[in-house]
Amino acid sequence: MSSAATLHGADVHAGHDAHHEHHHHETFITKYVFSQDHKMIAKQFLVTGMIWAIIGGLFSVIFRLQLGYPESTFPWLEDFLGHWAKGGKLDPEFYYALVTMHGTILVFFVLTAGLSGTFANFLIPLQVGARDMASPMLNMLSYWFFFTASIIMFSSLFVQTGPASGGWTIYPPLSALGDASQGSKIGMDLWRKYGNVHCKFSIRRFELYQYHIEPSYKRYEYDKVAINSMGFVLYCGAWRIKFSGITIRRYLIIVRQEFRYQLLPQ
Amino acid sequence: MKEFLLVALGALVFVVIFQIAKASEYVSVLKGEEKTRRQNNKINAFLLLGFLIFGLIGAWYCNELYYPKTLFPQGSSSKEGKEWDWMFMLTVIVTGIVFVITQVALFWFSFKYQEKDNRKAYYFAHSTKLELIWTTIPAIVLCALVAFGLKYWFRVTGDAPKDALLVEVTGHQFGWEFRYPGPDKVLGKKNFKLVKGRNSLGVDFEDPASLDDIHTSVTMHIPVGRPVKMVINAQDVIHDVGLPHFRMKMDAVPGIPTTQWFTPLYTTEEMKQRTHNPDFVYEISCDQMCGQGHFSMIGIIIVETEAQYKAWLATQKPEYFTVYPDRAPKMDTTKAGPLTAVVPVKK
Repeated sequence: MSSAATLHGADVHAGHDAHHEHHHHETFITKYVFSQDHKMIAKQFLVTGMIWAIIGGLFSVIFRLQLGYPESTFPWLEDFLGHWAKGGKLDPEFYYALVTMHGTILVFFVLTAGLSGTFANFLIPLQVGARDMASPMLNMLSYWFFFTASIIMFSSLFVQTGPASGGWTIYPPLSALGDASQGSKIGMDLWRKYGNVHCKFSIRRFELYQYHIEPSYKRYEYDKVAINSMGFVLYCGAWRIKFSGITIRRYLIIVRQEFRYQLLPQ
Repeated sequence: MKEFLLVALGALVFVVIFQIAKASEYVSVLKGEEKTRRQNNKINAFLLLGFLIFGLIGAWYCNELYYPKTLFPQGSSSKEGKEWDWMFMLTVIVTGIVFVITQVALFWFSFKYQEKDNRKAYYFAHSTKLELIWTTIPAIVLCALVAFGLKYWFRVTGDAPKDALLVEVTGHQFGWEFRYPGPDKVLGKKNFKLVKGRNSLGVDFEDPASLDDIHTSVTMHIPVGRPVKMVINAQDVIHDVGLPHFRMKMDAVPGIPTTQWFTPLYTTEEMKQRTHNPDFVYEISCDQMCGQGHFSMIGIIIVETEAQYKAWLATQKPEYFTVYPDRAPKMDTTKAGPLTAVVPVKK
């Protein structure tokens, strides 16, 4: 085992550097914006993730301020939150919206972008000694879908009824019925749209990881090294199962309640 | 204003740190990179050690400061909750020991074995024995903790003792409703299609068992020392019956009834003396985010002696007569009806 790890240190990087010598000339757009280089894509994820971390962190500062001083008013909050903080006191609905968005942002936009989008994207191809991801085009798309999802999510902060406010776990029926809470109207719709875009195309990338890496390492015959690094890939697989677990549970609850029980009294 | 100043102060501290970092960058250029790196390395080692010491002191200080404000010092108010408390303490002790050992090792090692000229790092890639040890021991300990948890969980969610008092708890946006089975000890059937007007729970009055059922809102009366089995429902979204004093908690899910039972040990009056708080009440708090009024979704439990409970029960008239007042037998109107039973019965 330890000999394999030593191999990893020496051979892989030598092989890796050799492959990077003959690159085509690239324009600004192909190099920094629509880049298909896994290292640049990882950096894009990193920067977007950091911006989201600041936004999500700011939310938590605002709602924790109100939580810490429940009786106090903060007139300056009204200046930039408007009717969500009438008289300088956070509206309960908006308080829950902030908590919900804070959780969603930190889990799906900071952790996903930061840990898997950045580290997995940057390190795994280097660790297994691959030239790049097996499908750089898909890799690029995964970032831009993530970016689109970010825009959709961000826009939900500016709608009349406020962003989703049912907790980041989005348990139905609170999140499924517009009557249940203000945030379950258009805010929730946008949350779900983001979910479609983000989860289907960006998080699904994890499934592709396995298929990405398998051909890559076979091609370069770094089997032992790859098996050592597969621990992390299996970890990505576990994430995939976790996410599909959430989805399956959500659908099960909806189906069960739709067909066997009626939810609200008529 | 004070809060605004605090936020501004926080922002200023960030700016100051940023400026110091920038300034030190210029200094390093002037002094030579290698020398600065070594110096920084030394400073970092000391900072890590300081972080360890202040971190551990801080954790202890927070505990000292906030422990009396939690519900732990007064102990569990239910028999089953005592086991929960014991299990919690066990978990805290086990994880606490691991926490202190790992943190001390992490920070002390990085201080003790910082970069020195006469020392070279030993490259240590893998040890199957070590991996086995630190995988197996936590696995066994965690399995033991989970086993205790499952044992108590299956007990309180399983079959209640035969003499248990049955209470149906229904959550809705934003409040709690309680239904007692009455003298026949059987709860009448419910059907959501029957929710109409005064019949807010949708009780099926075709079912003879429902005729003597009693319905109260907000306040639940239970006798002390007798197991209480709660059948928990929700009418709209997911709620959660959180009973912090009894160490109980159970989701209220629409369409899927859940159960949980516990044995209260102290009456509300006894708790007022134990906690030296004349306003003490047992509280049901909704523990699952359920919408705008979630924070205000509170129910009150009044635990009283068997005699007081019986006296209270005698004042309640069946819900059937509230829903159909014209069918009610002539009753003494001075007695409290179900909906006014919010006020606790005086001694």
